[in-house]
Amino acid sequence: MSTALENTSPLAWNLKKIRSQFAVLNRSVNEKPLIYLDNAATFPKPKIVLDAVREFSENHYSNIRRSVHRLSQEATEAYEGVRESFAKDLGAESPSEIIFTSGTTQALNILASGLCSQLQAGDEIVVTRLEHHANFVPWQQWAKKYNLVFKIVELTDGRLEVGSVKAALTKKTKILSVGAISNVLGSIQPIVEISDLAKKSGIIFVLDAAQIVAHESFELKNWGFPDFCAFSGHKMGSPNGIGILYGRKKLLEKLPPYQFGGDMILEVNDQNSSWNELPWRLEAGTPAIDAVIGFGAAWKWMRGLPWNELKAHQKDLTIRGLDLLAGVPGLKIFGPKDFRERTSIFSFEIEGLHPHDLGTFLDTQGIAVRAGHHCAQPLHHALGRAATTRASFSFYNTHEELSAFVEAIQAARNYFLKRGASRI
Amino acid sequence: MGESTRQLDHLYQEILLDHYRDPRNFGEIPDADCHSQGFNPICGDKVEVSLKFSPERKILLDGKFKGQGCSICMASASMMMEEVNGKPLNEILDSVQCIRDVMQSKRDDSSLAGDLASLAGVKRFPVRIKCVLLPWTTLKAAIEKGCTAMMKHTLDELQAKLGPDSFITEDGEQIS
Repeated sequence: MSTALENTSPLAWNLKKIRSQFAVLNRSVNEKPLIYLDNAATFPKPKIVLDAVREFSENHYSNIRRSVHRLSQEATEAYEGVRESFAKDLGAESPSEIIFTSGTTQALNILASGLCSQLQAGDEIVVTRLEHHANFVPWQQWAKKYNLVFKIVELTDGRLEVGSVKAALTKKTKILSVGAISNVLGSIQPIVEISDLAKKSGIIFVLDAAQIVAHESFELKNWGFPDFCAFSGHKMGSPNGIGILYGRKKLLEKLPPYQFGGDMILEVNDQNSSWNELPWRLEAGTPAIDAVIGFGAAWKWMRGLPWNELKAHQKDLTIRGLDLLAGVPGLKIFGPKDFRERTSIFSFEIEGLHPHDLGTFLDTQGIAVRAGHHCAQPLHHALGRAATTRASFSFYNTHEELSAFVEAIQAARNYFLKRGASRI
Repeated sequence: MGESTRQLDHLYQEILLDHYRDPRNFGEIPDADCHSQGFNPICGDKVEVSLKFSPERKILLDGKFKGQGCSICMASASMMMEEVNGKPLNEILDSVQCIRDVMQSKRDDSSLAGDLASLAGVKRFPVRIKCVLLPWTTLKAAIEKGCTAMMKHTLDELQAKLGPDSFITEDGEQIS
């Protein structure tokens, strides 16, 4: 419920300003105003990002690093300018530590294939039960290929404990790869402590930052300064098909090329070729130039938001969300119950009501949620569920939207229970 | 709710919910001739069918399903088993094609008779079409598996009769 005071607060004003960036929030779905609660899947596109892409495409677009003409020069400067700003803002040592990829998935595949090829049979790779398939399957598959041991750190009461990570590490462990925030449970992992553990043991620490980028801390030092880190632009409003692989230069230099082709070469002879230096060695072919421009705009926009206020607001949404959902009969929330250990991603089940049926009901109310295993089947196996319903609130969602969502869940329950659709 | 309730009621028709609450032919045939498992990677839903054929494998004597899924998937499986049990296999494969065609609007809704007619409402919810079709594609796979196994079995028997040095061509001719 909003009060008159809230409506005139700086927060309300700021939320209004942020929300005005998302044209999609003006549309209706099934004659209801859209309530978008699928932010963990992908984030809406801010107008400022779309404008930046359009301005670039209309005035400066050309292929980069290939021609002497003016447009190519401007496009190259804009593209490399985005790389420089990422390097500077993240706190990397140099722009060559920033590799543009097609997203988190490609970044993790480059790492898994490149790092595993340098290990010895019997070496260990450690991930956790929480991982998204993108930070699970590449390691699992390359481990198989090179006869490495693929280990999974289990959860304790739905939480990843530093002690469990520590217990999993041995002298044979070479790589530890962890997702900062679970895309299912919303739990925030103690990544700084985990990173310290890895560093003390000389283990390469990889951070899957896909879910943390729309959560304020845009600096590697807040993420325990990982050896490698991967994230996607589209989780923070950039065009699709673009992401970043950050790596410490010394480690990146050891990575073999992932793809061969244009721009990644130094010299090509009939039977042999040699490679360009970083970062281009790992960026074969014409990259997603316009997406990089949009990524830069999204990054700049997001970093400039009033985070002190937004963080407090998102914390309120988390506390209130946990509270309201706990009040729905038959509803079980997965993941930490303590708001300090989690963000506002809520995965839950309602007894006797299948996530797909609930998802369809909510869609008729204009509410977008995700139903399924959210690309985290190993976690769902551990939860003993084939699927859950996930509502992922972002910092721009409102208390009114939260209330409408909870009311709609109640209505869904009444609808299906009244009609006897529940099977218990 | 108005229009959205009407849409929902059209999707979740009473007969569909009845099959969900009280699925027909739910379970497993212990001495089944074949099994098949279907999986929807989007939502994790699972359907498993077990089938028992007539000795010459022309008629489905008994079919059962089990699994985990949403109301639409489970109701579709229940209706399907009611529809196909006791039918010749070629007719069953026609039914599978028919429901696929209706879901893709290649055939008129009226092609679905009886309880199955209630599934036509799902067409308005394109993301849910997979839920309807999962049991049917699983059934088709089971029948194909069963027939292949039978052909192999017949060939093996023939081979055993003819001796290990004989080969049989596709036309059934014996080459020694």
